[in-house]
Amino acid sequence: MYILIILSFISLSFSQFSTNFLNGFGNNRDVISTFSESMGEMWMNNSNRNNWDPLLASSLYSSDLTKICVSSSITGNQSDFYKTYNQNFEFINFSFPIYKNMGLGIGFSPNTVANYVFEEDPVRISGTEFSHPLLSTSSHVIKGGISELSLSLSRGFIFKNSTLALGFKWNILFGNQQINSVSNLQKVTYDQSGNEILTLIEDLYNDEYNSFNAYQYEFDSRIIINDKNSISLLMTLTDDFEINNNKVHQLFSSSDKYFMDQVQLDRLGFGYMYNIDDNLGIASELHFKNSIDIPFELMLFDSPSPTKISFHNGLYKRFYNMQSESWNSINLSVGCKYKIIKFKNRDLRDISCSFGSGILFNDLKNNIDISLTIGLVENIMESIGYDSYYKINIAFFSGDKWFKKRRRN
Amino acid sequence: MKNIIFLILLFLFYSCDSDPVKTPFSNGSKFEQYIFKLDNKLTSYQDSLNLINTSYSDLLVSGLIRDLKLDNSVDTVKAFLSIDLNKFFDYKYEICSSVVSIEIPTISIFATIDLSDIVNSDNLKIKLLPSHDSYIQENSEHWREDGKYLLDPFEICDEASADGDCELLEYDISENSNNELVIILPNSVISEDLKSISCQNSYINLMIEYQPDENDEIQYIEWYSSDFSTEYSLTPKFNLDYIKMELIDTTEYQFTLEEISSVHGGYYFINNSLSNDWSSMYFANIQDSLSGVIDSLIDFNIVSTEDPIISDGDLLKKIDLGTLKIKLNDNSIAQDSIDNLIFSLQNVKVYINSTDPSGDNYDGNDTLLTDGNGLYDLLYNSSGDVIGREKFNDYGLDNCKNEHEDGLQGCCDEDNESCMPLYNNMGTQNNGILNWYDIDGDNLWSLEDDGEKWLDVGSDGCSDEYEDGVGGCTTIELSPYNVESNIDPNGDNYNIDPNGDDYSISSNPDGTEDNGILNWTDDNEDGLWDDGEGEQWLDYGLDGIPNTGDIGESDGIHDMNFEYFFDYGLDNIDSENEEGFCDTCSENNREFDSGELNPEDDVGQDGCEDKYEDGIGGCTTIDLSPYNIESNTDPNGDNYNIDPNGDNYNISQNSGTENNNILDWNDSIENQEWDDGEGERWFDYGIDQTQDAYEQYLPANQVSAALGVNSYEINIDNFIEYQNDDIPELGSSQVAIWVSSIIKNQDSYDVTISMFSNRKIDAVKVNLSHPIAGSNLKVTWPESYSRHYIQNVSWHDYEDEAGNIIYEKMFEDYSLYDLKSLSLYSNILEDSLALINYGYDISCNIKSEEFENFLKDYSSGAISRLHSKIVIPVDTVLTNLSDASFKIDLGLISNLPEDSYSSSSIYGSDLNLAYGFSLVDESNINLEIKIGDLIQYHISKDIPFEGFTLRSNSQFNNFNNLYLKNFDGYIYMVVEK
Repeated sequence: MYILIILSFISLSFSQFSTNFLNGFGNNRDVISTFSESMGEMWMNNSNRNNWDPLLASSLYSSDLTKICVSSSITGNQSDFYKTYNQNFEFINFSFPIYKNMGLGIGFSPNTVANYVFEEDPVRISGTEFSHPLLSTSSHVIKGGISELSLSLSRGFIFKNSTLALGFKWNILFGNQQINSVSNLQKVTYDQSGNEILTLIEDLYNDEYNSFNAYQYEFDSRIIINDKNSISLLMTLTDDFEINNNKVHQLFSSSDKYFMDQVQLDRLGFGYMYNIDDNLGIASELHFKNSIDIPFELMLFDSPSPTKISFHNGLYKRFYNMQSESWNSINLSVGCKYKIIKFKNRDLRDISCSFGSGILFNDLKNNIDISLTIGLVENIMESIGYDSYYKINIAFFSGDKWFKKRRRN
Repeated sequence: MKNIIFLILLFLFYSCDSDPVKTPFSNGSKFEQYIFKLDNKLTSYQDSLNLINTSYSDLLVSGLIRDLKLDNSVDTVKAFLSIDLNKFFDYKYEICSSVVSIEIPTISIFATIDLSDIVNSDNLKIKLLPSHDSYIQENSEHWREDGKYLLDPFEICDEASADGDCELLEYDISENSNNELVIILPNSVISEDLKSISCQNSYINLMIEYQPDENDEIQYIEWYSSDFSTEYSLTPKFNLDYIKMELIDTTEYQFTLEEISSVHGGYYFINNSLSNDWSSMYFANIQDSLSGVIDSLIDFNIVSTEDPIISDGDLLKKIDLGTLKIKLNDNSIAQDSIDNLIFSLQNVKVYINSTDPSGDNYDGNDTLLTDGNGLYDLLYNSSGDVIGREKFNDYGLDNCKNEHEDGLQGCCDEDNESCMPLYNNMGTQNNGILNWYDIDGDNLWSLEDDGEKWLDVGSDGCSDEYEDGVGGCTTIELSPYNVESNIDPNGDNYNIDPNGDDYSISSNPDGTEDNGILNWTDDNEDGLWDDGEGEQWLDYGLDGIPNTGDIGESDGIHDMNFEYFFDYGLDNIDSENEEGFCDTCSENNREFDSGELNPEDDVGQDGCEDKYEDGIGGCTTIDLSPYNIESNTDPNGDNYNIDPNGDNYNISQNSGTENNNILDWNDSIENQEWDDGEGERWFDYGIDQTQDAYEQYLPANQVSAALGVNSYEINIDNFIEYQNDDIPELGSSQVAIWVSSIIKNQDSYDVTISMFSNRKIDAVKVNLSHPIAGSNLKVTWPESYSRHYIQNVSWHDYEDEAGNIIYEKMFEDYSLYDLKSLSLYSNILEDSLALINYGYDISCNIKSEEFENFLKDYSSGAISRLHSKIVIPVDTVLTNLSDASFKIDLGLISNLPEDSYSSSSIYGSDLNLAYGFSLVDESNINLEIKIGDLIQYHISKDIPFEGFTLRSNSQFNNFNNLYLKNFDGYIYMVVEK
């Protein structure tokens, strides 16, 4: 119960500000596990033994432990105009085996979030034949977003030299978002020396409240061809996106309901991993993140979210020490990412590299993972140039055999 | 374990928000200004003539309507007023059936103008229709075509008619207001026995005609109609004056106090039932005072008691102080409702007999026993502050209160009644306040005014020639004043236009500042404003922003339509920056400022010095004045003087001895006693400041008596005699008081109050009251009384069959006139003008396709409430703006109900939204109406917009024509893109 209360609160309050996120419904980034993040923000491959990942449905079968995983992150974003810092909740997940080579997972994580308080640059409005020019300054408070509750099912088919793993995840998206905007209009006049004189004339108010409901279906598969080679595939589809929209302009309100029942591709990924030996490997992935097709007027500042195409590379190395009482294994990983963020009129480049380490202990049942990602991304505002960002992920995993069969005497 | 997990999660996942950020982002909220020209978009229209109904107008009109622009046509308008007397059947005071008496009713109607001259002109006629039938049909058809009114019932009243037998009624101006006309109705309105109004099937139908001469200034009178909703007190009134019987609740005491008998000593009691101190009884032997009924409470500080009522021989014995005779309220209805009388003794005060009740008499050891020690004593606390003192008269060394001072250090007190004190706190002479009435209303003192003279020379008190240059005054020789170089040494001259260039249509028509015209001469013909070329202007182009290269920017041509100029006059200096400007200065500001009343001119409301006063409040010559420097120094008695002997304490100078809170006594004889002439008198009464004889009355010295059960009951129907000689248990006070017996004596009851005391007692006070808190000894009953009603009725309410309270106006009314068709004005209007007229129901449509398309394409966003508006100039040549203002209401062609718009804001009914309106008068020659909310409503609710309508509001000028220019209007919108 406590956890739910905390998560309900957190899911509404975390965000990372950048002008690149003032579109769609806010920052729609993919939540991935710490050991995937550290290998260049991969979706399907990671440094874990058996590639186990609580967020990757097809991998859940590979552990015979019941596991609880929680993760949070610290993010920072900096440009010449702003500098932000946030501590974020990433995900919580509970998974367990249900049958031989089958696993089930339940998870909760943010999908799209916004918690922005910002002020726009003042804008001059031309005068007319009958009026002075005006100057408007707008400030916005945007809060809320979409959360994701997921149910995952995993099944592994193990052959003599190869394995086929299939995963299916059903995501329930829900949440709400509130946007409060105030625009301050000032009359612009000039004194005899040509100096500008501003006189406040009116504040105008715009408020908007959206509530969201949608479903996502995620399929992923991993084919372990042999000891060294494996390929993977992931596809996410969004369906039945429903938005209840309430707007208040000045003194009057209006309500609308939108329902998008066509299935839309949300993301698509391909991956390949080459294991040089049991403890060393490299991997590459190609990602495609689709812009969601929603009426523009519902999105922040009438701007759709961008399409993203990215290429990811990573390397991992594991060290085992099964005899030690303090730790059993240490994973090290490194990766990089190159992403093209495609807006309507402009493509942005996003480059990052990441590092990570994980330590397993208590007979490989528990582990703590940490990753660091630093990067540069071009900004949609040409005057800003680019944002530099960092992200530190921390995750805790606790596993045990909860449903042991006991032998009767 | 669960708690540990919870704490870990809380620690890890607590989110921090970044501070608000400023960004160069500017794509969020964008605004734009739009102008939609209304060239030829205004269209006058008139409803089908058979649908026109102006009977709900706020005004009725009587008189002649002259339209100088329309062939000098003259039309007669009459006001018709009717009251249905049947409605008084529902009236709760039953004036239709029978009352005690009723005066002949009158009807009041209220005009928008002063009627003084009109009632004397004989041009106003009030006619009463002979028939008592209904002629009012406010909801019916009023015209079928232009011309004659269909429902005119007064044709028979026309003098030209052979059947003209309408009665002319008398009228007069009300005593309350010159705008109120009181119409006196005929005797036939009331019954012959003068006890009711003839309500049955009876209408009073009045026609109000006004027929001025052609040259009369007032050509028509506007009356507030029964539909005037702004101020209900101005709607027509039916004035009633009658007396009727009514049941009224009466409240009195259950019993009366008749007398006190069988007394042990003196007694006094208050039996006035209207007094708050009713039933207060004293048992005391007061010197020089006869026992019996008194009017008010006894102040024991000003009376003396003689023998104690409980003396040594009475100690520890039951003493009957007296027997109070009470009698049941003599009202038979009240008696029926009284079953028993329950009372108790309350507010009992016992004053003990003692030589020194406070115990403060000097006994040789002067500790705190200071009474009579022959010294003036002060009591200090440990910090040395005075916390008590003996009584003294803080009247100053003259030992005389200001009110008694004679101005010669003498005192006109009770010992010296022949002299006249000079004290006068109501005087206006030398009171330091300007006592002036501005009779001629010019805001300056003049000989025509009443009261004291003052000069508008500023707070420094002197005109420029006498100013010393540092804020004060000096002689004319020493003043730095110079007519050329220093005309205002103290800089206090009020001047809001030092250069004298402010435009004024009456006083300075050639002024160039604020004249609305660019006064610029391009002397060097470079197309730019240069210093010395008059008023500066900004060549910023249409957008008003420099360096944008837009239309008209830097073209060397001033475009009056949009380019801004500084209308500061040829000097190009704003008045506020002109040398010598001062709008807060006090000299010549036509306002009285402190310092402008010369002390010599503070001669009082009579306006003259003492030696010119005539002794009866006016002024006369010095020869005729009764003034005498010795015997009559203030004939009019207006000299303000609150300290004739000049001894009041002055805190700033620390001078004066009266009211300085210090004993100013000089024991010149050195006998340790106050003697006449030794300053302030003091009294050797001790710290309690009370003589021994009065110390017993100090609250601290009063004792509380034991009262026993203290609840006594007299059963009226089944009286049982009461006797109780048991002494209540004595408390520490050693005194008990109780009612020892109640005996019935014919129709009264004898209540004996007894006392038992171990102390000698000088006086006892006691009240009767109900023993239960919150209850009293009173009884309330209904009784029929005649009551005088004076009522001015314009509305009444009644309950319908469904039980709902219905509010209905008493009068119905409308104006009778010939309707004009809009087509009559076609030659005047052509395409360049639009017309609005309430009387002829001519309104105006505004349909702009450009504006409609704009709204159609506009999806959503905020619209400026304060700046989005319609602006249409009025044709001031054709429109008569001098009479009064027009009120023009905005409407919608789409006929959207106004209440749905009003109730649809997010604040609901808490926010009073209404369609916009505009007042047009001499100072507002543009019709300007805000439309931001209305358009926002259309956008938010996605309601198709079809155009605006402009209608005249009936509150003003029902028959005046408002002509609007059809080519210079526009709609101005500030909207979010």
